[in-house]
Amino acid sequence: MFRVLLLLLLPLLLFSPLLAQAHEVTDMGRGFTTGFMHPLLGLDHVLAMLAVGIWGAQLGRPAIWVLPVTFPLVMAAGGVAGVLGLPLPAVEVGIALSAVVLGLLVAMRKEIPLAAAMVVVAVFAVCHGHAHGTEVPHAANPGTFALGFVLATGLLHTAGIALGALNALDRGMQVLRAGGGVIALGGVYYLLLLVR
Amino acid sequence: MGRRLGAIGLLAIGTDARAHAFSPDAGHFYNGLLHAFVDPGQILLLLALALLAAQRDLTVARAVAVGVPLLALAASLLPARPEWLAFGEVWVLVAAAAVAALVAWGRVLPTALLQVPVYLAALGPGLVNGAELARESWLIPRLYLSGAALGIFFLLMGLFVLAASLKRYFEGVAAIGMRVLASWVVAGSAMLLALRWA
Repeated sequence: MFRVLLLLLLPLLLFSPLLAQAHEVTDMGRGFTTGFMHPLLGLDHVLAMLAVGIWGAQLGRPAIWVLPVTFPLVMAAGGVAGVLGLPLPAVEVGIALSAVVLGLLVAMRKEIPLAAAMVVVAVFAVCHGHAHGTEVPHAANPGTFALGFVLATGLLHTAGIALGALNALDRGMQVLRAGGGVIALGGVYYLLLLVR
Repeated sequence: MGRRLGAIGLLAIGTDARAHAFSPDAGHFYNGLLHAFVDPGQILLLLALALLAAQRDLTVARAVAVGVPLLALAASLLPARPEWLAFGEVWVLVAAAAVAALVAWGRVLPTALLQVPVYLAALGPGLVNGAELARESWLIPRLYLSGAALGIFFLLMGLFVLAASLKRYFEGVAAIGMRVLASWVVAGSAMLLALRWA
């Protein structure tokens, strides 16, 4: 047991250089880290992204991959608008609503035509993209910030799809539907915060 | 076992990491070699090309593995001006988005048709490296450009081998994963393009 633990911890030593003087590009790491953490630190983003993945998994093929492909493609359009400073009204309301609507769709295990599902996801993707995009120009390294938030968003979808695998287990579907309810409630909470 | 692990652990403890080169001119070569690894636009483009090669048939893979580094090298040898750098960077990002969109789309297309975007995309890193060389006149061209071509080849092949291996061992999941990853590349490229005008 101890050996296994040691074997797992040894690679961590690789991350312990005192000084690394061979770098010439500055702020790439900081920009990437901030961008990567941006969707993860906003619970409203996390809830909606997980819901996209779970809903895709509930709908099955091809929605399981079409929705996570649609989201970043459309999110990029919102992100571009945000980067260029184009205004989009009620972005935060859209983000909170996305958690409510997507959470409810998961809770109700709602099966709708693929094209309609894509439209639902796309509308909310614009809001999420715009919110991230407005932060980009202020980042230490805007380029790697943008790559970081795209990657984190994609990984949250993947986590949602992985959670969707619970469908195959006994009572897994009920657990997922309950999770959808929790996501929707989280969205309602964020909506109320905006109204206050 | 424990002692061996301990010995490996000692090797991993870094003190000062001072990069030594066997020749002062080697820096020019490394500068070119690392360019593909530190330029987000080129990373995205090479990732998109590697995904396309792994997704499609052997002819496309060959065009990517052999054609891209050679064409990039050829394009970097063209007489370039420093102000062309911005144009080259935009070319790289547009190409990354276009190639990644082809992967995300996943539609079966004639192989000959697929080779056109691959070769057009290859010109991007070449234009960037050529303009970079024109701007940084202190660089030794033959060392910088040979390093740059090798850097493109290594990164491309590394990503291709990874993607092709995943596709071989996890066929269904990897095929979906590649399309999803390609959509992230499109999104990332679009964001980087927008930043140029922000």
